[in-house]
Amino acid sequence: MIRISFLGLFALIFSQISEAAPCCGGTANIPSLISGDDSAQLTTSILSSQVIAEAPVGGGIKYRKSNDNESARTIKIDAATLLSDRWQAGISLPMTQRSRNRGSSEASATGLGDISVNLGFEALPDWTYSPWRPKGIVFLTTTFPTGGSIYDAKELFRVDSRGRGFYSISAGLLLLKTWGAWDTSLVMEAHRPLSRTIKNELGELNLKPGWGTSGNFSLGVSPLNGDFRLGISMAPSFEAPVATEGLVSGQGEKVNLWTAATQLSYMANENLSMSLTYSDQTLIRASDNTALNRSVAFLIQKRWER
Amino acid sequence: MSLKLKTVLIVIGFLLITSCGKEAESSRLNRFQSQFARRNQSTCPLKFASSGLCSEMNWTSGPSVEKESSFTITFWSEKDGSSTGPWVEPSAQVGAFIRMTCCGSVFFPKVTKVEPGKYSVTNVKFTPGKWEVYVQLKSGDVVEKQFLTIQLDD
Repeated sequence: MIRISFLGLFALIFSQISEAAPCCGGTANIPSLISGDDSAQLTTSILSSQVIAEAPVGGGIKYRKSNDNESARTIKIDAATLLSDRWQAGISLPMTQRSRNRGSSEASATGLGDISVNLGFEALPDWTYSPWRPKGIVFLTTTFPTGGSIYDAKELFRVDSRGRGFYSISAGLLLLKTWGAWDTSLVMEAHRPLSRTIKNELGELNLKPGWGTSGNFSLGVSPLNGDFRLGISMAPSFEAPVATEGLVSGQGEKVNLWTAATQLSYMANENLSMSLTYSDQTLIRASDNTALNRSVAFLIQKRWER
Repeated sequence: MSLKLKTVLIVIGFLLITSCGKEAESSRLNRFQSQFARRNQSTCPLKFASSGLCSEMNWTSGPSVEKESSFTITFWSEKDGSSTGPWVEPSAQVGAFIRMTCCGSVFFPKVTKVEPGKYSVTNVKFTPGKWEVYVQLKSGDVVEKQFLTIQLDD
């Protein structure tokens, strides 16, 4: 059961590292879920990312010039607690600083990101041993557009855009399974951002986002069944185009983002674990219409047993 | 088939093949710049038919992603004016905005009247990518707008 908690930590990190596209992305909707035999958990994570390249509309990769530095640092607190034996609830509070300097110009902004709350249900409990059946948790997440977005940004380089800009509802499934020293996890979710209207003296602009989906598949091993775990993972995400109506009618472009990552985790004791993750969005060259990051994240998680 | 006809077919085939690939970034930028220049050189770069007005944008700063850009908009009568004047004050409300085509994001710069028929648009903030720069005339429910497309690259 402790190993399962370990795995939950790994799934959670993707709510951090899959975020980031300054333009149209910001895609992960994977919540903090209690996956082990715990009654509550508190996770603090620190993420530092650097935009390395752009994936233009239509694919390919275009590296940034050396005099163009865009970075982000995020501190995020995720808390989750059991509501009953199988039901749980959680909240995610991110704070982000984004900065960019290019040539002689620079801009920086700090503030709250998009806050989300979630409800989880242990749909596939692992009360009895099965060599093949995974543990499964279904979840429902609501994201609030507290971080501003490219639709609201006022600063140079849109550095004050820290979120997607839409209320969003997401439903998904987390599956976890261990075999001896090996483990695997799979997260899949689909989300629907809600339309919004921007009004001013020029008229009304209706923004109509489409469906989105994201996932994460990970594989890990704990050598000698010890306290360390090594993991690799792959996380695709997809956002349908945002259409505009009213003031100006048009259709944006879809966003595809693929993230590859490797992770080293350490379980200090049964209630405390930490993790260091390196991710790269330029390795799997299937992204388009988004900025591509490399990032390092450190997480520390405290759990309280039932 | 004559030699001349064969030569023509080969040349056409070569042009078709070379034009089917992905357009180079530099040639795309040149195309947008040419489009901008052509529209500015025409006698009526931005035509507002229902108002009988022509309009022109002139960049006073930029367009750039590294700093705030700004431009002026001037209006003249399609019938008896030109880009050098006399300028005509539109009876409708003058507005401007920019739209990033990839994401649908719209940014509203500050529009200030400089003199009758001439407006200054400041605080224009671009990011790299393809943008549409709109000028709008709004009178009640009657809205007329024109735009130019520009590409700002990394």
